[in-house]
Amino acid sequence: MSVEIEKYKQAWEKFQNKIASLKKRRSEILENIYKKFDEQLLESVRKKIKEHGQRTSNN
Amino acid sequence: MDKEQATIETTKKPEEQENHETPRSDESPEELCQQMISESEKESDNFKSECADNLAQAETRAEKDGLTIDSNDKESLQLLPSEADGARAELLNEIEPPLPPDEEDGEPPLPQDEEIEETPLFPEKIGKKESAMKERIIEGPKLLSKKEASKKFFAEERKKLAEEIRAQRKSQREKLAALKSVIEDVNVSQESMEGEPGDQKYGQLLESQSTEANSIAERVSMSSELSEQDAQDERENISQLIANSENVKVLKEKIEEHYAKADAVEKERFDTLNRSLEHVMQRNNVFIVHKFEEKEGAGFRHDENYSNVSTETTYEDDLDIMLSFEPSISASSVIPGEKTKLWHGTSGFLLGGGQIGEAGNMDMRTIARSLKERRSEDGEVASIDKIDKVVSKKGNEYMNELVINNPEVFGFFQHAEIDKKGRIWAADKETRHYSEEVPGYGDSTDPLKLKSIVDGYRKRFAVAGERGMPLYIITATREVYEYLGINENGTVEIGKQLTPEEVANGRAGLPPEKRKQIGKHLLDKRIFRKQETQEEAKDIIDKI
Repeated sequence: MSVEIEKYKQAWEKFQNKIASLKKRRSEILENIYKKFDEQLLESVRKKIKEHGQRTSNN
Repeated sequence: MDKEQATIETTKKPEEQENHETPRSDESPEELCQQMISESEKESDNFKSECADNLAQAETRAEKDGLTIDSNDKESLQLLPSEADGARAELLNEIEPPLPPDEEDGEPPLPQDEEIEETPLFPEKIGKKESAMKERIIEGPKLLSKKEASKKFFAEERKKLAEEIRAQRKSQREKLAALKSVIEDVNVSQESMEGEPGDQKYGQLLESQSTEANSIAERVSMSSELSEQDAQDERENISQLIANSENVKVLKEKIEEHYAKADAVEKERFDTLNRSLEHVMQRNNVFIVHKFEEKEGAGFRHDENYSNVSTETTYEDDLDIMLSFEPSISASSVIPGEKTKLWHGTSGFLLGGGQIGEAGNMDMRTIARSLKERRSEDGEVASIDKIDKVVSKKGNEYMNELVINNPEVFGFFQHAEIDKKGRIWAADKETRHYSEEVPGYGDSTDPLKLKSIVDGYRKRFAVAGERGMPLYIITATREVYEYLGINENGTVEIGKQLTPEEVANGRAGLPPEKRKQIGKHLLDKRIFRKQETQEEAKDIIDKI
């Protein structure tokens, strides 16, 4: 294999590694986003339960 | 709870399987190179399109369930496509197509004429580089109505109010039904009601409550998300209500309070938008620049009375402070084509974002009170009108001063001057005197002085380039051009001219992760004079 082709191969591997690391990061970010969605939903359910409890005790 | 998006898809579709194999080519390096160019384009395009789809899906889900996407997560996701572009640019840079065999192996092509021979070769190849600054979405400076502002900023509260209105309507309807049956009973036994006084009383009650109900009906149709038909139904229903007016009053107050709040938030947003650099630059067609003082000593760089960093701070640190902490700074506006004065120094930042605080036609003698606060003795924040007048003033004898809070860097520039032949000289035309024998100046050729100018110019751009800033030169008439490289004789090669609009809409400010990384490094170096500044700097980094 010529030196040139070896150089290209290395550059391509570097590019592939970079894209793979970007994909990993994307996956982590998305995981974070959806985790926070779940937290927000849970919080809203907790709030509703609390409000319901207060209304019941007032009545 | 909708769990359909609670986990991340881990199984990839066959077409999404990663290809870690080097593109195969048994033919030649040229063909392999072409194949890699085309494969990498496909790969980065796919990645970018998937990122856009992911964000769209998350946004749809957020809208559907009334959730919010964390702004940092969103920003990080939006930055990924540019990083993919960066990775591809790096690849392309590394696999520059080889020269065709006749040029590679044969004699170098001869210059076509003497002029080409005169043009020196670049000792270093810089060329145009991709900006590492973050992409931005610039919001238009349109003042929203109270209703639009309510929808945009208080969607949740608006929804709750609408629910309250519906609940009240239901309760009123029930009361009406009860009252109606009472009246019907009264009608049946009309003889026992003693005629007119009873009817009159009921009529008055109906009239006053119907009027009030109608006015609420108008508000309801404007404030809720109802269709026109639903709104009409609402009006009819409410106009029939005969109610206890106390609840109605409370609801009216709540609605008024809600709209007043939405209006105040919108006015603040509108003011913030209009004093943002993006909009000031576009409205007035000006650049806003911050120059670097390189001269050390009292009244200059790192002056112990005015500067919050020690004399140990390097030129590189100065750049990093700006990029990482985005401290409040003084800047000036320049109008392309106008020979306006600027602060001392040959280099500086082209600013792309931030908020203008104070503004004056000359040096206002502002002082950095902390990293995030810079003001003069008066410290009066300029009105939008004043900002526009100051930045667009032509024929200014002095440089103007604008205090920029949270400045975001678009690019880095150095001064350059154009001579009568259209040649561009690094720093100023003095460089030419050290480069050539200039009539009227005698033999001013000074190789050592010239070398020091060229090296300094090159070094500043190299330091800025390493930090991912696009590089520019700014002329005496305040025209800005892409910097491509400097020749040994002190002339500069330039690319396309830049406009304020491009700066206003372009990338600006480093991505958050990068800001944090640089900031932590600066904190470790302990460059700040005072402990309180060190703590403030730490706080800034913690909050990024």
